[in-house]
Amino acid sequence: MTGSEKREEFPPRSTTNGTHPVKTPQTGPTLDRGVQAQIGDKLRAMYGELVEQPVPDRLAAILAQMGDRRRGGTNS
Amino acid sequence: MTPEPELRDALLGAVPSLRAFAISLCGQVDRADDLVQDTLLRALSHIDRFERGTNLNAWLFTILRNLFHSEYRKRRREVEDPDGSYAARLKTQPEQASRLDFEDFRTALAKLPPDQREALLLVGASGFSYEEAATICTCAVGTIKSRVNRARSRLASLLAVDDVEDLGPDQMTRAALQAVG
Repeated sequence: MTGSEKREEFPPRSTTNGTHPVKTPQTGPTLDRGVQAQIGDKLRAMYGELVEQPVPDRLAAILAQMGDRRRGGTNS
Repeated sequence: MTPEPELRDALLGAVPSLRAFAISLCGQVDRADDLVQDTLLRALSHIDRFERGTNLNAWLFTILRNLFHSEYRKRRREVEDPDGSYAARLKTQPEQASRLDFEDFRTALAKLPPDQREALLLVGASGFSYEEAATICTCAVGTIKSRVNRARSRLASLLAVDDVEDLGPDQMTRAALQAVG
C-alpha cells in the first residue's frame, strides 16, 4: 500500500466558464474533500449499523452443525 | 471436510461483515441472507482450498461476490427498494433517527451500478485495500479506483439533488411522503 492511493482522480479542474462552474451531467461538480469525507462517514456508519445486527439463526446454525460432525461429513 | 475449531470460529466471526456487505450490495435483507448462506455452504464444501494463514475475509468476500454476480446475471434486474421495505425489515426501531437518516443514502447506493457499488463498499466500508478489492473483483487496481471515484461522485450528485429540492416547494411533498413511510 502506498500513499498515492489517497490521490483521487477528479474531473478536469478547468470546468469553470468565467464565473459559472460547469457541472458535467455524469459526474456532477468536482468532488471536494469535505463531501468525500461526508459520504465516507455515512457509508461507514450505515455499514457499521448492519454489522452490529444479530446474526440470523439459520446462518449460525450452518457453522454449528459443522462443528458437531467430526467424521468429515459429506453434507455440502 | 470439517474445518478446525479456530477456522470455524473465524468463519462465524466473519458473518456480520459478510452480511453487511451482502445487504448493502443486494438492497434486500432476505436475499442477502440467502447469499450469505450460499457463501458459507460453498466455503465449507471447499474449505480445503482455503490456504491457512491467508486472508479469510478476502476469500469469503470473493465467494460471495461471485455468487452475487452469477445470480444477478440470472435475474437480469437489480432489485431496488424505493418503498424502503427492506429497511423496514431490519431489526431497528422506526423512531431511530439514524435509520431514517440512512434511508436516503441506501436509496442512492442502490442506484449505483453494481460494479461501482461493490467497489465502494469493499474499499470504503469493508476495510479492504484497493489491491485486495481488485483481487476480490478480479480486475486491475486502477479499475477499482475509477469505480470508487465514480461511485462517490454519483452518490454526491444523487444526495445533493435531494438537498436542493429541500429548499423549494417540494419540501412539503417530501415531508408528506416521509410521514407516510
